[in-house]
This record gives sequence, structure tokens and C-alpha cells, in this order.
Amino acid sequence: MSTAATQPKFSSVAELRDSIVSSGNLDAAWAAKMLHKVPEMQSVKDRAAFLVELAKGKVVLDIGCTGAISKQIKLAAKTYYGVDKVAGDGVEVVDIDHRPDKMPLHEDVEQIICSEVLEHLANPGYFLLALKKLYAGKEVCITVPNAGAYGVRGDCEIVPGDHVCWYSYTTLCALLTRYGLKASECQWYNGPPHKAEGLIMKVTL
Amino acid sequence: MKISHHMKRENSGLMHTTLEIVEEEQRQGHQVRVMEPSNGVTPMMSEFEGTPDVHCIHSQLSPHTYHDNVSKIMFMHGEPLGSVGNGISMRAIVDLAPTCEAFICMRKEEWPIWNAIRKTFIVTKGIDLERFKIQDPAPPRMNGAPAILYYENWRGQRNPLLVCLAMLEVIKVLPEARLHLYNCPGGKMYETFQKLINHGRWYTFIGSLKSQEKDAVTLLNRADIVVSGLYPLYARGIEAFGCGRAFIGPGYKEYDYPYQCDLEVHSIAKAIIKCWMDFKDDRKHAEMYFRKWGEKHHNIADTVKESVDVYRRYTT
Repeated sequence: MSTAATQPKFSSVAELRDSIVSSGNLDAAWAAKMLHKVPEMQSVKDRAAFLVELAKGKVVLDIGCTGAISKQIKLAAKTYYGVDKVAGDGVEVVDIDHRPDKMPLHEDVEQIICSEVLEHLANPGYFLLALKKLYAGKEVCITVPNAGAYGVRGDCEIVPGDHVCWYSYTTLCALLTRYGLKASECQWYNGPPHKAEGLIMKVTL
Repeated sequence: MKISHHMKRENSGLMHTTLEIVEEEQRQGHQVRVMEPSNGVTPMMSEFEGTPDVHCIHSQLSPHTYHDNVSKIMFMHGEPLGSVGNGISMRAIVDLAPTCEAFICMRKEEWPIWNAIRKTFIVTKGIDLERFKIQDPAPPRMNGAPAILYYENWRGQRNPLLVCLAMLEVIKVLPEARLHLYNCPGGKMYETFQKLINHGRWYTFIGSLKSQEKDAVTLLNRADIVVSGLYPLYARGIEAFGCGRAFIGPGYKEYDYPYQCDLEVHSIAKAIIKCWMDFKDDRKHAEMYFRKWGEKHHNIADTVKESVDVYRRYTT
């Protein structure tokens, strides 16, 4: 059949070229819905060193504070408050997944650190809402494992068994947006863009 | 003439070349249509109703069109050995050859091969000189003296390894030279080059390692020299000429071009150094020289005139 039976999709060659360049051989509607630009971001080599530097000389609230990095943060901070669902030395125990509203309020906090916490929470939005209510105007530094680092070995997935989700740049931004928040600074950590082990986002509550 | 082009909807050099031919056909007063081979019914764009005078095949052809008694000409965009090597292209070409009146190719070295399969005509390999031109005012230059740009589509052996190695020689003579790698597809290719750059401390001369840049014209205008590692073809690197930039690639052995090189690190380095030494003190002169080279040897208007002459042989 040589006759063009239906209306052409594009009215000019320039329009056709633009469509192909922006979405390749993909359907334009699909591309508009599914393709989300990730900005160029620096990659931090060492998450621990980055967080320690951030905490240096400040009054810090460390949410999820029973890991090894928290010990270093505690040493670097001027004043240190730790919150976790697990009891420990100087730790305020809070079930942040189900009762984030029970988190303590420390008026003098200058920097909040929430490192590798969100991926453990079944209700991350409620947690962010509670944090925003308690610490409005303060800066929180969030880090999460990056979905692009997902891997398998044989028939096994490589992931801690107590994680309940993976975040990518786009999905973490979507979560923040849904609760009225916006990242002011974003970085990868430990690895090249998209494949890095994790993401770091600074957010003003 | 009413000309129907058949091309896959993919972001590739083939797509850009085809659409530039289509636009030039419009400028020369022809009516055009662009069809996606997997959909022989709905055109991607069309300026006419009904049956065309000729079908131009760029990648595949819809089976709807196989036996419609309209002349068919196939454009040979790929390189013959690569077409065999990828296991698909040459087979598709041979399958379609009996339905075609003739082939059109753009490099004289390929002519004997394509002509052995079907009667083949050579046309000028042109670029759209209306689109690829010297920008005024000039955009900010990339860093480096010279700022060297690699912007071919990367895939498999099409990658800038040899150009990076050539830079090791270039910086001994031109320590300010910087190589900017664009169009990196990411994934394993990105990781490989990132490792090479870190391991070899190539970051002393690699100015950028970036993904696709949508505005190729501005990108070219920001460089001094455009390089390619392609061999034995040269693909779209010649767009540099339109923007008044030197093009250096082992596959480019056309006419008496003074900056030819071989597929070998030392030869690529030598061509880069010679080119910069010739023009570093007079960039305006360089712009005019390379622009004129493009106008003389790579004008898409010539490509289309010569191609239409071929179509006419089979349509009257």
C-alpha cells in the first residue's frame, strides 16, 4: 500500500526530529510520563566522612543512631542527640515508623542527620511530616541507598533484609514533594552517577 | 517529485542524515513523506496524498510497499563490513535488493562492494549547511587550547579510546590541550572510561565525560577541533566543517584534506598538533577555511540534486 491512509503524526521535519532526539524511538506520551531528567550531581567518595564534616562543631540530632558512623558524628558534634528505635547508650528510643510524633524536640538543634533510615520505614511520609512539624526551618541531611545500585548474585538479591523499598533520585524527590519539601542540594555517594551506592539530599524543613 | 522516505524512528546518525536530505528535498521543491517501516499505513510526516513517485529506503521497508510497482532506491548509510559484522544489516540489505532498482552510497571506497549486490550510484556525502553553521555571537568556548571534541555516537568499538591515547602525545607538545568526550551512553561504557581516566590520570587532559548534548550545533561551535576514531567511515563528524571547525578522523580520506590521519595513535596525535599549529594564531581564518571546505565538498544540496537525478532514471 503506497497511499498514506491516515493523518501524519508530525506536521514538519523539524517537529519529527525534535521528537526523536528527545525520546528516541519511544512513544512521545510514554516518554513524557516515564522519562525524568536527573541533573548532573557530584559524587561524594565517603559518606561517613561527609556526614562527620557536616556535623563538626554543630548541635546535631542524629535519627537512626546505632550504626558505626553515628559514633564518629557524636565525636565531631558540639552537642549530640541520638534517636533510634533500638536502645543504646544515650539513645532516645522512639518508634519512628509508627509514632514519629513522639520524637523529642530539642530547640537548640542546628543540623539533623537522617542517614539510611527512610528505606527502613513503612510510613516515610508520616515521618517527614512529623519531622517538619517539630523542626520547621531546620536543615535535614537525608541519605538513602540508590536504586541504581541494585544487584543480584546468582538467584539472590543483594539487599539488607529489613529494607522495605529502594529510592532513586526521582522517587525520593517525589516523596519530598508530596510532603511539601524540596531538596536544596543533591549528591551521589560512593560511585558514578546513577550506579552510585546511595543518594544524599539536603532539605530545609 | 513525490518522494517517500522509509526510516526507523531511532535517534541515530542515519536519522539525522535522512531528515537533512528530506528537508533539502523540500527546499528544492519536492514533496516529501517519512514513513516508519513497522507502520506502512500512518506516515510520521507527509506533504502529499496518494502514491509517491519513488520510495527511498534508509533502514527497512514496510511489507505493504514491497509490490506496489513504485520504484525503490536504497541508501547505503552503513559501512559494508560492519553491516556483515552486526549479523543483521547485510542480510536485510540482500533480502531487499531484488525489490530495489538501485542503491545509493556516499563513499567511493564502498562503491565496488554495494555495486556487486545491486547497481550503485555515488552521491556527495553532504551536511545541512543551513543548520550547521558558525554561530554569531560565538558561544563560550570549552576549556583547552585547543579544545578538542569527540561527539560520535558510542557503541561497541565506536569509542574514543585511540583519541584518548593520542592525547598523551598531544599534551607533550600542547600542554593546554583538553579532550571533551560527549555522547557517552552511560552504563558500562561510562564506567570503563571513568576507570581508564582515573587509573591513567587522564583527568589532566580530559575536560569532560558527558552524555548526549541535544544542541549539536552549539556544541561544535564551542570546540576548536572535532575528532573521531571511526574507520573506515567518517559518519557525521563532518558536521564540524559546517560550523567552521577542523575534523580529524582516520576514516576521513577525502580529496586533498591536509589533516588526514591513519587508524593509529601517533598519526592521530600528529594531525591534531599540525592542525592547531597551523591555525592557533588565527581562529577566524580557521573558521573560514573549514566552512569553505564543507561548502565545497559536503553540501547537502549537491547530495539531493545527485540523488534526484538517480530517482529520475527509474521513474520516467
